[in-house]
Amino acid sequence: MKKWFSFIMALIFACTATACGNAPEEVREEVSERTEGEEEVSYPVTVTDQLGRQVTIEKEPETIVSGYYISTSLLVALNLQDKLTGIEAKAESRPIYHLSAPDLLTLPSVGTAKEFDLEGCAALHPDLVILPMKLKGVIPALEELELTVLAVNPEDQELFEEAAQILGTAANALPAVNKLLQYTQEKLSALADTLTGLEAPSVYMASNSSLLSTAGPQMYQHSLIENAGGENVAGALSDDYWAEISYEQLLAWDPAYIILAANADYTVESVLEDPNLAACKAVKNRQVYQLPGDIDAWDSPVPGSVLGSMWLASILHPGEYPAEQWKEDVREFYETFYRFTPDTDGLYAGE
Amino acid sequence: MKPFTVLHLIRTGCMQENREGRIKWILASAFAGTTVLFLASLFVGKYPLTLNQLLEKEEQALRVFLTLRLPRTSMALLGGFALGIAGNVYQTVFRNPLAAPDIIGVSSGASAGAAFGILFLSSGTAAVTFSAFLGALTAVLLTLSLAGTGREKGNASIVLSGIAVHALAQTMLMVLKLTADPEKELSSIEYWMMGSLGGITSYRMPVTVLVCLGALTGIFLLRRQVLLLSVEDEESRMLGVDVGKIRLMVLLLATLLVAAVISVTGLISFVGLLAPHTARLLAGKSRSSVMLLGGLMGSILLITADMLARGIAAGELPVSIFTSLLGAPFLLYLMAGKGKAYF
Amino acid sequence: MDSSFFFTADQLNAGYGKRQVLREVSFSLRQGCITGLLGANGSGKSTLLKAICNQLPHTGECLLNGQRLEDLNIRRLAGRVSYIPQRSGITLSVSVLDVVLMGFNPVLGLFRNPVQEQKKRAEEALAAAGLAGMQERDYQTLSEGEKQLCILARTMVEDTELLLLDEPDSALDFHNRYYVLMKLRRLVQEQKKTALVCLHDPGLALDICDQLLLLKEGRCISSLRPDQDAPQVMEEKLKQIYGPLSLIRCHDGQGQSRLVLLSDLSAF
Repeated sequence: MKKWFSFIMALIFACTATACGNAPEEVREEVSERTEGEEEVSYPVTVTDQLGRQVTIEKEPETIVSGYYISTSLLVALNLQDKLTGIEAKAESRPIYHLSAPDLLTLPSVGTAKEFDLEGCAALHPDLVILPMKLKGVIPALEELELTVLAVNPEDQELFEEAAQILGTAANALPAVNKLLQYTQEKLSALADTLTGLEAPSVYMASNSSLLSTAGPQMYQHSLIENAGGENVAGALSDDYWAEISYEQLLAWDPAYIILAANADYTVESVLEDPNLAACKAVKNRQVYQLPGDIDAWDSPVPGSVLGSMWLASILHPGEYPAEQWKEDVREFYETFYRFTPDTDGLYAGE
Repeated sequence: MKPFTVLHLIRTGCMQENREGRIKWILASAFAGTTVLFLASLFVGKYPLTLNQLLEKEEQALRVFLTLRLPRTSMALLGGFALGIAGNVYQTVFRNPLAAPDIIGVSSGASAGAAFGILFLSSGTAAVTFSAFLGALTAVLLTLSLAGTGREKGNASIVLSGIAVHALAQTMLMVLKLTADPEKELSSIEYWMMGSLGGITSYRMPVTVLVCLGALTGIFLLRRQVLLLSVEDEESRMLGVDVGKIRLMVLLLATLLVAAVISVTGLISFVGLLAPHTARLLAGKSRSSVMLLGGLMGSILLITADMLARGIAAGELPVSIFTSLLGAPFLLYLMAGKGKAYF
Repeated sequence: MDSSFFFTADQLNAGYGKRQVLREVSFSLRQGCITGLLGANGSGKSTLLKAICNQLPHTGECLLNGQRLEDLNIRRLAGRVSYIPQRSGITLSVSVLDVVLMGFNPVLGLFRNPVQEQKKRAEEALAAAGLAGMQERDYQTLSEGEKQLCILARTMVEDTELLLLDEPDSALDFHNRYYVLMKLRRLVQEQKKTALVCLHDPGLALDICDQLLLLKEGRCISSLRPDQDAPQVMEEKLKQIYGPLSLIRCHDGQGQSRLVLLSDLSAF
């Protein structure tokens, strides 16, 4: 019996050891080697992706599979949509594809971040596969199939810029990348200049799922509020993700503005009519808005996310940065990078 | 449709008069059915693969075959077999036709472990697999040690501690889900709990195969003891069975089997419950051949379900949908055919 | 102590929790004899069997051919003592042959399976028990009498020195009671076994057993030998357990001398 028990224990330990050996390597905080200034890429080129992997790209990729909407959207902004042969699932839910590159919607899907379709991807024989960091588990198998894989992790503005550099280098589109990043930088610093010295009104940012779930200081939404010259009432929370709060907490914060996420499944009206919030400053002054989501998900680090900050600035400080100016900026951005003219009239919930 | 042809063959086999011969016949046809399905399954999938491509040693086709298709199909074969065998062991040892791996907390432990892995370790699959495996083992060891501390040391106390541990693991899972990001991690957890063989690659196979084969060998060697455990404790003790130790050993082996499978595939519902019943309905008596048949039925069910999961829609679908969808009517069909109490 | 006694129980005390059921029970059994254990419900019959086969903590000792049973581990004990419960706890569909083969467990290694010769012996045991040709039947589909016979066949292959049977007559009809117990009697006599049998029916016990032990409130109050003792003596002893009754010696249809137990109707 003892023998048996130790046999089983040995088995368990053997498995444990092997499983540990298989654990994926830790993410390294390492910025990729950029070749600033040098805009034409000569192949083969080696880039460091956002998992810290050194990946050599033998020739300029002709076909690309992108398994993440932010990288897909970025490739569209870099005018590389024609090289895409497969994209992530649920593409039809992204308005930007309909508006800028409707052909993408006919491409085969390679699955979601939860369930990547390895065979479907292999069947497309892509020169380059771009995956979100979440899918790092499938990378060894794709490499075994001799596919070139880059992992990106565009979770905030800084990481997005890094991802843009990596993809720009890999796909020989550095000029477009620099143009995009430069535009963003200019707009952000112009906005900062406009807003200097103004008082920052308090803002409460509610999530897609519930009014009582808000963005803490670690989230992209927090920097969106800061860029727009506001103060996140939930800035002192320690949660690094959406935090669940109570009505009492919301009333205690008493924000001057309540902003709903773009894809919220509840409406501005429902918040204005919520009897629990009747005493809240934002509701009393009818300062409840929803981030427009008809073109792009500006509350996530997409290429055009700076427009989200600018939209909020036009809500918080209409005197300094009026709505008309914002609409003009939106049109300019999409004409420049996505090659279409958006209909901005229906967008502005602030009117 | 292949499964129904197989099913029909098996039913025809039931009509045979000679009992010994009948069981051999059923076993042989189940074996043949498994083989046919396995081979068919090798050529179903998103990547267009044909036998010719493989024979001509076309490089990419071979690579897809060896890293994706073959491991996945083998996992369906082995996983179904393992779940079928483990289900038989649980049902026999607990003398309860409804006993499934969760009776001693295996699946809820694995779920909690997987959720923990998804949240805190890394979304990388190896970490989640490991964490799920550890969760399952922890839950079962907890159940068995709780049962060992009680005054009544028998099946009832194991089942009761199992319920307690199950509840505990469910609570942990709830807490973990609460802290999860609803758009990313939460959906990963939910998806894990529906099971899928889509992520199986040649990298994830060796450990699972090793553990499964080890545990299967153990259970096969102990198959006579498993049968003896189906007799009441006192009686089997007087037949010379050290009930406490043997039961612990057999349950641990079955748990290893289930944990090794579901930690890579996610929860797969119904196979562990259904396969042994099907085998018993087909072959009648609970003996080692029925155990083997249960394993084969598990393989047949899981291979078929996985073929549908990967072939029916543009994307991958969770495999548990099909194991339940196929399994339930199959069970009803067999029960209608027998029309008597059979357990 | 008389060396012709093969099994001796000495000063057994046992109980469940704080409730003491057996009080200083001592008795001895001979080889080749069936000893019946009689007593009202709750008098401690089943408890005594459980104590002997060491399933219940107890004080005192049981000696089988000089060996203290308390000192044996589960396997060795199973090799020397077999226990047949009122009804076997087999709840699964399992073939009759497999049930009988379970009896080989104490002599088989953990990972071993019965060999061909053992299967043959199991079939012979089934035939001896009157179940010839039934080896492939499903145990669950047997009648209660056949089930007891199947368990008896299993006991035969266990080939232990001491047999303990807990009310084998309880679930059987009139015919099967005699059928099963006569098979047991033949087994005990031919193979020089020692058997201790709890019985419900004193009439049956008087017919079958070589010796009877009377148990009352956990004490062994007396013993009697149906073939030797005078009916009047036995009657007095049985009254202590069953109340007013009369015991009559008479002859059956075949001219054999039998004992008949009649309850005193006026007592009710």
